[in-house]
Amino acid sequence: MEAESTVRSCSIVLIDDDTVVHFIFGRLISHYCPHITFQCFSSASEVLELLKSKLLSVELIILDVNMPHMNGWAFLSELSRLELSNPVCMLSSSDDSRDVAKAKSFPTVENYFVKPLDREKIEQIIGVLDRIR
Amino acid sequence: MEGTLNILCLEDSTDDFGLINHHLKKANIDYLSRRVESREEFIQALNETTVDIVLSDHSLPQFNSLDALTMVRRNNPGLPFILVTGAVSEEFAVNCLKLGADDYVLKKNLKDLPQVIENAVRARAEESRKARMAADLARRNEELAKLNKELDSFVYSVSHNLRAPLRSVLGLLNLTRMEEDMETIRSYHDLMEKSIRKLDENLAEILDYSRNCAQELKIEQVDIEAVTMDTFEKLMFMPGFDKLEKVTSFDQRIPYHGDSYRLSVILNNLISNAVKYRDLKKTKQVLRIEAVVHKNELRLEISDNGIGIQDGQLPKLFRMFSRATDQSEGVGLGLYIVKEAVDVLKGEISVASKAGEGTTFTLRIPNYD
Repeated sequence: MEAESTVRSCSIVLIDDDTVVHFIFGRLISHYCPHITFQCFSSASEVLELLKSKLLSVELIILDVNMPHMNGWAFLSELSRLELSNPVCMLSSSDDSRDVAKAKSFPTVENYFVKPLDREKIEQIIGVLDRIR
Repeated sequence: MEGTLNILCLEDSTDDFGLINHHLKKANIDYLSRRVESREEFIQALNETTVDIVLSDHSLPQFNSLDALTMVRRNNPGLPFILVTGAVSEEFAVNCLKLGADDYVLKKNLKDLPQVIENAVRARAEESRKARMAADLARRNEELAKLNKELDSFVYSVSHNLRAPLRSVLGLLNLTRMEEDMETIRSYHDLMEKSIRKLDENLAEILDYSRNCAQELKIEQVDIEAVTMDTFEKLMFMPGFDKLEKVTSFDQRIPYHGDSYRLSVILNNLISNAVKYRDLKKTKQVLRIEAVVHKNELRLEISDNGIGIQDGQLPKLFRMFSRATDQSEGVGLGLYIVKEAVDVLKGEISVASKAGEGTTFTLRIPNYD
């Protein structure tokens, strides 16, 4: 992502360190709901910086859990510490109940999806988006 | 009873002390006895000499058996203590036992003393053996609990790391179902291959880790240059490997003896890191390997001009599942395995790095000559 000083605005931001997930997400969205705008990031801290400096405006964040440097949990904690209330959907390859419970403990988390993404989950994500709008 | 029994007698009467010795000798007990009669002498004897058992008269000038018993129990709870006394009431004797005396013998029954001593010493030895076993058991329990916890977190992280690329493959499979165009489907295949390779790499790391834990050290003469070249060969097809300029120097005038498997694990991880984290912004990407064998150790320096490591990440670099960069593709086991292997070899590893400039690993590994 090149640095821009203008505010970027989109409906959904995906944060995942695996670029294959970016690709899958992008393909599914442009196939099933081409009107939705989105951006993909590999680094949670980069998104946090953009949100903090209000250079990014987003309706819904899709967040991976297991990432190097700053993982999903650290990102959520930082969000709440900074009193940013962007709604979040978790997207993880873990279906461990401890992870699901932990996600629920954050008030900004709307839903928890287990990878892989498919049509049904994309529709659910859009459902969340419609609900919060 | 084993060895000579060191007996401390708190006794003001030399006649009674003589009688006690007489009965012990008669019973063929292997012992050394020492008589003290004041509080000061008693404390000094306990502190400065070996005492295996205390025989205490009841009443002495300025000191009595209850004080002596309290003192012994406070400082040495496992030391046998037997009251050897003239006439005392039954009640008093029972009270003494309650306070921790092992037994009591009336002076008119001194012939029973050897047996009483033997019983007390044996009971105490058994007690301390049990206490040692209990402590040992508690320590092992603690170790196991710690291992279990580590294993739990290991299984959690590993399964997660294995599932992530698998889930990506599943996601890509879903995509191929909605595509008709062969070209697009082929591009999905390429991405699947990438994920599967990642999975394979993760498994290889876990295997390295478990082999490093399980395999005994095998010491033989090792040609460092040959191990390095083998490693290069193994990494030949890694993307970017051919882009890296390799500068090597090996000084092996003194032969190195060590474990070639561990050494290759170390080299493999450090070199593949240099490939993975090479700095694409630099026109020349360089890997330097310098090995010098000394009589007592091998010094190995592996440096690159790659993207480097941020200061904050350095302290946790060698931890299990630590991933220092957002670019990281692995599970965070590589440098942990390196550290484990270096530990098995009883060596040392240190790292110096500057973000944007490069990283240098310095290793000192004993020469098992």
